[in-house]
Amino acid sequence: MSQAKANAYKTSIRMTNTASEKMSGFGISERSFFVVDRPFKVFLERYPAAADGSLSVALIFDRTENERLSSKELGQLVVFHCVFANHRLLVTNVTLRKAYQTLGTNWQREAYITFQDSREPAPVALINMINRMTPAKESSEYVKKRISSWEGYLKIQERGMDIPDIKSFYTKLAFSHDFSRITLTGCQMKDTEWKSLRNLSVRLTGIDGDVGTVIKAANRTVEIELQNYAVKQMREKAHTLNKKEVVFSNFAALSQIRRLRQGFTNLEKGLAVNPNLDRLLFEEKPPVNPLQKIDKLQFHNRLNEFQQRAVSGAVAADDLYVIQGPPGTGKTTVIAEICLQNAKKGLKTLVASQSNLAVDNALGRLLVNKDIRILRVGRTESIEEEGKKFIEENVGQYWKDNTVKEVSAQYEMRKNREAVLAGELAANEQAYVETQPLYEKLAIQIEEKKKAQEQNRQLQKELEELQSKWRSLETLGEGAERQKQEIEQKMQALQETINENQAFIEQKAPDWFEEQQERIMDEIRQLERARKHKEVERELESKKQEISVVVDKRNQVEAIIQQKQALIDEVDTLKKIDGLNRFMVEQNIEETPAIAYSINKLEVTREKMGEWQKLSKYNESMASAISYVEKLLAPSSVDLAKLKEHALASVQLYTSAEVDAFMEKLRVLLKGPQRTDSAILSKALAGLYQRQNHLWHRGSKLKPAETYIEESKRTFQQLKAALAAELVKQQEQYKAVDRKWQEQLEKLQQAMAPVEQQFKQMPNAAYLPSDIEGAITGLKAELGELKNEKLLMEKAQQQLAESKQKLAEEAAALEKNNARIVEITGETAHLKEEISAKEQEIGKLAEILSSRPEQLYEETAKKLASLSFEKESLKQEMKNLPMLQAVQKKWLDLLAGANEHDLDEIRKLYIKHANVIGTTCVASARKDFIDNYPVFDVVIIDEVSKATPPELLLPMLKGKKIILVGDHHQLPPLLGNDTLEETLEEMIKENSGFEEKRELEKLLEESLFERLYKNLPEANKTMLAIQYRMHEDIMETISPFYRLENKQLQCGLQDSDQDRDHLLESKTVSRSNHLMWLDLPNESAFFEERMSGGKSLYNPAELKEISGLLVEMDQAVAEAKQAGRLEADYQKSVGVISFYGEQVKRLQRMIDQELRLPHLTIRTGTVDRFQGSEMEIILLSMVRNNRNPHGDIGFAKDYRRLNVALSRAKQLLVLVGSSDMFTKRAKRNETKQMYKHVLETVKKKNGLKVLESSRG
Amino acid sequence: MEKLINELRANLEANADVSIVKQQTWKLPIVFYDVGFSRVKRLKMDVLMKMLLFAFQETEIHRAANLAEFLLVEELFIRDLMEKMQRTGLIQLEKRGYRLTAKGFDYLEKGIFDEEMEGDDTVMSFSSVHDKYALASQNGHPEASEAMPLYRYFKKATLNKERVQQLLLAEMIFPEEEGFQIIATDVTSCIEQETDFVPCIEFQLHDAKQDLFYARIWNTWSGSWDETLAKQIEEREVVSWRKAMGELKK
Repeated sequence: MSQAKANAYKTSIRMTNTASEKMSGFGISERSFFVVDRPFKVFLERYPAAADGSLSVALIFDRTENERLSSKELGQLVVFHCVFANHRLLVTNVTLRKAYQTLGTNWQREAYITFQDSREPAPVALINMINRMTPAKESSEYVKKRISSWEGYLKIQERGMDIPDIKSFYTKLAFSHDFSRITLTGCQMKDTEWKSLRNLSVRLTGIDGDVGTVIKAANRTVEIELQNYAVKQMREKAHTLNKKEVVFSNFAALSQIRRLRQGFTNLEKGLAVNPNLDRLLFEEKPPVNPLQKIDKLQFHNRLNEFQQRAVSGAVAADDLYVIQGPPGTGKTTVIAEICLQNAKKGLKTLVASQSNLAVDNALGRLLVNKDIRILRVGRTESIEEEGKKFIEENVGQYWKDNTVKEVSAQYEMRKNREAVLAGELAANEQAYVETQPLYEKLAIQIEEKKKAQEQNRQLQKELEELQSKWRSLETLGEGAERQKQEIEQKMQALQETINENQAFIEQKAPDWFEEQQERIMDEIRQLERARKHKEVERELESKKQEISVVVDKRNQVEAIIQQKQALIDEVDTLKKIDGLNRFMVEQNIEETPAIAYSINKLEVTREKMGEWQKLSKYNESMASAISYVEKLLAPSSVDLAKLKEHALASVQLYTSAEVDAFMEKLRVLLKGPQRTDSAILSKALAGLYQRQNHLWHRGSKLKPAETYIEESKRTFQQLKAALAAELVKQQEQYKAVDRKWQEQLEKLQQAMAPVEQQFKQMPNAAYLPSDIEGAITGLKAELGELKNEKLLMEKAQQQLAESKQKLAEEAAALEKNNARIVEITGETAHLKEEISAKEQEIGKLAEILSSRPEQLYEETAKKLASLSFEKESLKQEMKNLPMLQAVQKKWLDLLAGANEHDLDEIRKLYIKHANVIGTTCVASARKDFIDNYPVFDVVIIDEVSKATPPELLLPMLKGKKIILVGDHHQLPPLLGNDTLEETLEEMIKENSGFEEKRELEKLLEESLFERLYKNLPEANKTMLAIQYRMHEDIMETISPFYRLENKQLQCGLQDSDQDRDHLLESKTVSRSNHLMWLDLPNESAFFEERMSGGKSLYNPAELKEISGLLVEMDQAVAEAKQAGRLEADYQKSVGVISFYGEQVKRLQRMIDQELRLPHLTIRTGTVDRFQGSEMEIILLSMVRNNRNPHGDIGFAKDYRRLNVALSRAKQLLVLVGSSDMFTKRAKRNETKQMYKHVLETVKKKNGLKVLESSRG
Repeated sequence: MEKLINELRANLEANADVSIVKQQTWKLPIVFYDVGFSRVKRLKMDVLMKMLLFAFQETEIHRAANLAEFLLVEELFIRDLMEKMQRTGLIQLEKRGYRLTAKGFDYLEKGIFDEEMEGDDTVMSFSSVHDKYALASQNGHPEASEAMPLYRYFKKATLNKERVQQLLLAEMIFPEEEGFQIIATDVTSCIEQETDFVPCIEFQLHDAKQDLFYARIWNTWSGSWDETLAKQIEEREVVSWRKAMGELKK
């Protein structure tokens, strides 16, 4: 609670008006609601989303909160219907819910909430949590949809159930011969009532409880099969009943179905202890949690590998584990072990099964162990003997019995213990004394061995060193040997080189090279002289050439000098300046300063003369103009003199152009109207005066023209003189050049003279080759080669010397090496001797070393330790013995004297601490059981394949973990007395509705157990694959049924022949037979027969055979007893079984009435009823034998039924029937195959007895 | 007797298929014993509680586990009881282990020491054929006539003292007084008295429809059809009846 409170949510909440009104109607005040001292415990149930998609949830207040909420006595649960609007919790309605409705279902979440009157949004965690929930309705719908596939089971059982109790008087009550049935006559009932009697339970006034079930109601008599528990009462009281009244009722059956339905509803409501149960049951792949990691378990039963796996798996599984247990594989042992493991872990286990018998069987086989407290819950009268000791009123006694047994066993054992202890102590002492010296001796041996080991180690080390030395010597020797070879090879190579060089050197005489060189040099010298002669000749030639060139040049210069002289003469003749200029240009005469001055002076003179002429012209026109204007002005009173004076007062400068322009202007003026205007004329006249004055002024600066002409003549003469001077100068220059050439010529002539001399002296070598250069080069090359050759020769000589040197060295090395080899060989031999000596020494140690005193020493030490430990514990025991004995004695006395009352407390403790509860599936849904045991840690359901899913659901609802044990290769559930198939057949006969048939067929197809087994992951299932019941021969017949499983069925018996020896010898059966088939012919004498008016079949011929066989066996047992193979009072257990009820009935009758078989304990039964049982010998009456065209073999075609039939026998199985019928005439091929396998196995085991004619 | 036989016959023949092949009466011996026994008055105290008190007095116990080992009793039970005893102040934990308190001692005294009561005696019947021990009933039963033959498979057997003891312990109930019960303890004497011979009516029956032979034995002493006797006879004789019948038919 405190933890829950810590996790409490705090949220605002608002109310709609409706909600507020409702609230106050229920007396809930808002004030009490928002009190925050502690949170409210509520259950959240998510609703499907509202129309607008908003999150919708119901808050159901825990019953305990009513007091806080309302002053009224509500008696019901307050429910707030809420939506989340804008993340705020809004209550839309408030209702009351019936208080008995369970809270905390799997579709609900428990939460603690404090409410606040605010507008804050609700906490995100709360919204998220609700969001993660599946709406309760959806979950329910899911379950409803899936579980509807199981409806069929209930529908079939509900057929014709809705009838009220029928009460009637009867006149007579008769028992059947064995008190198993009663027949009532004289009943008064309506016809419809008569028809509905079958299967109703029967109560008789004066007898407690139901006495039995109607099995037949016809001809106004009612046959009732009595319940076992009712028989005794009936025997004692039936004849004294005063009121002969009977009540037929289907109350028991109905209440059973009601419970089954309740199971459906509970699952829909989410009331399974395991919240995942619905998914585990209905999902195609059951969503199991992974297994937990567990330590290796300690087992208390002897378990084989598969059983161990099953137990470990079941313990480790979190939610679901399935164990497939073929016949005789020790399912119950596994269940017992799981229960014990659970008990040790403090877990509570429910062991449930479809039938009381199976529950009791399972409980009966649990180990008697202090940790397990078994309690059998159920109607006492329906509990079998095995389970009786575990019912509430007996557990005190059971506990006492077991405790007494255990304590007295210890006590008795301890009675003689003192003497034994003394003996043991003495023996212990003796043993110690005996062991001690051995121990010491061994210690010495070990010491010696240690020494030897040390020595050995040392020797080994030395040996190793020697060996390593030897090995390195060996390596050295090999090296030396190798070196020797190398040296020899080298020497050989050297010798070859020497030889070659020697030969090469000897080719040439020692002074051959000098001679050759001299000769070639000589030739070269001669050739070089010849080459010089030519050169001199060429030089001479070129010199002559040079001289002639110089002579030519001198001639040219002479011509130029002449030419210049002519020019000088010409200058003198020139008269005009232009001619002079032209001459200068033609003769390319440079303007010297004197010439230039003269030319310029001429120019200036000419210009002055020009100006003078121009001025005189202006003067003339001016003078005429003045005179014209003066004339014009004359009429006017202008004083001309004054004007002239005034005008000349200022001297002005005028350009010629200005004067020209003025004159032009004046001319225009004088032609125009203003020529009379005196002012203007005066002004013009003034201008004219001024300008005339200017002209005059200018003219005054010039000399007269004649002067200038004179000057020009003089200057021209000067120019001519300058020109002539220039030409003379040029002439002089050429003369100088000529003198230079003359000098050079003289020089050349001088140089040529010695050459000429030399040339004249040279011989003319006509014999020399034309290409002297080539010859010289060739000779030089020859000389070079000669030099190379000489070098080679020198080199060879050098090499030769070197080689000789080397050869000498190598020879020395070889000698040295040879000496070394000798040395090494000697050393090696020596080492070898040393090694073998060491080895001998080591060999001497071998004996001591190979001795093994340690183990013995250790053992002895252990023995001594354990002896002294034993001594201590013996002493302790001796000391405690009297006390323990006294306590236990007292305890035994007390227990012995304990009556029921004294055990009451124990009984209560036992029940309180009961940890293995056994009950049937249906009983696990009884109200009182649910109240006492609402939850189990583990629910184990045995014989699961025999129960219908609705039955299985009931115990499953209660377990956190569920362990299913069964075998889907054995028979499926029975509905009443019939299998599903039989019920189907019957329904077809009865023409029941098609729908129901369809439903039934669907159910036939699916077995819950099979589906779970197939679809669960490997970790969550095991097949127990080792069987201990059947002789291997018998087992072989059923192996094919398990062929498709992962593991093949194996036989766990050490030696089948010995462990399953039936010890019988008779005419038909020999000791070695364990599997037989008494083969009846497929002939009419052996055919099946049908009860007149009945549906069940029987076979008289088989009855006869079985009768004979039983007698034979009884005798055989008697003989075995006589022969001492069996105890005198031993009774062989024989099961006589058949596929057909009628045959079983007849077999039973025959055994009871016609046979006296004191040495056999015989039980009869249908194959279906025998499931779960085992017998030493089984006789199977197969019944079917006919020649009908369709070859129907009825129930015998179901492989599961055959499997059960074949797997009941431990020592001997005898099939009695026609093999042709089953292996050849059977309709379906697989059926034939199935029986053929059985027949083949029988043949292989030499068990086929073909009957030619019937016994008797 | 005749009336009874007729009633029984009618009862049996109620089933039309059944015919009575043979009917005979014989006598079954029932031996009566005078059994003397001692009685004690003892505090009503649970046996385990008593043992625990005793153990705490005798030895040093530190943990429930020790006791569980000695007594071979579930530790859980012992722990539960020890808690209860501590709560009610019968024991307390001391250095040397749990010890009895004064109240505990007192309790143990009372519980352990039975107050000897005056001995008592009763009459017991024994049917060796049924191996049944019972306190003699007050109801009378018809006496068999001398002439009647003895039950043909009768076997005498000796009395099993232990069974007598068990019978007394289970059946001799004395009124309780103030938390004390009075219990029959040891059998002090067992003296054979008279042997009563009880008449039994045997019917050998045949169900024609099912071809069944069977026996019904009315035991006048128990006043019921006796299953044990019928079984004994059927087991030995049914086959021979059938044979006889067959020969008769031939």
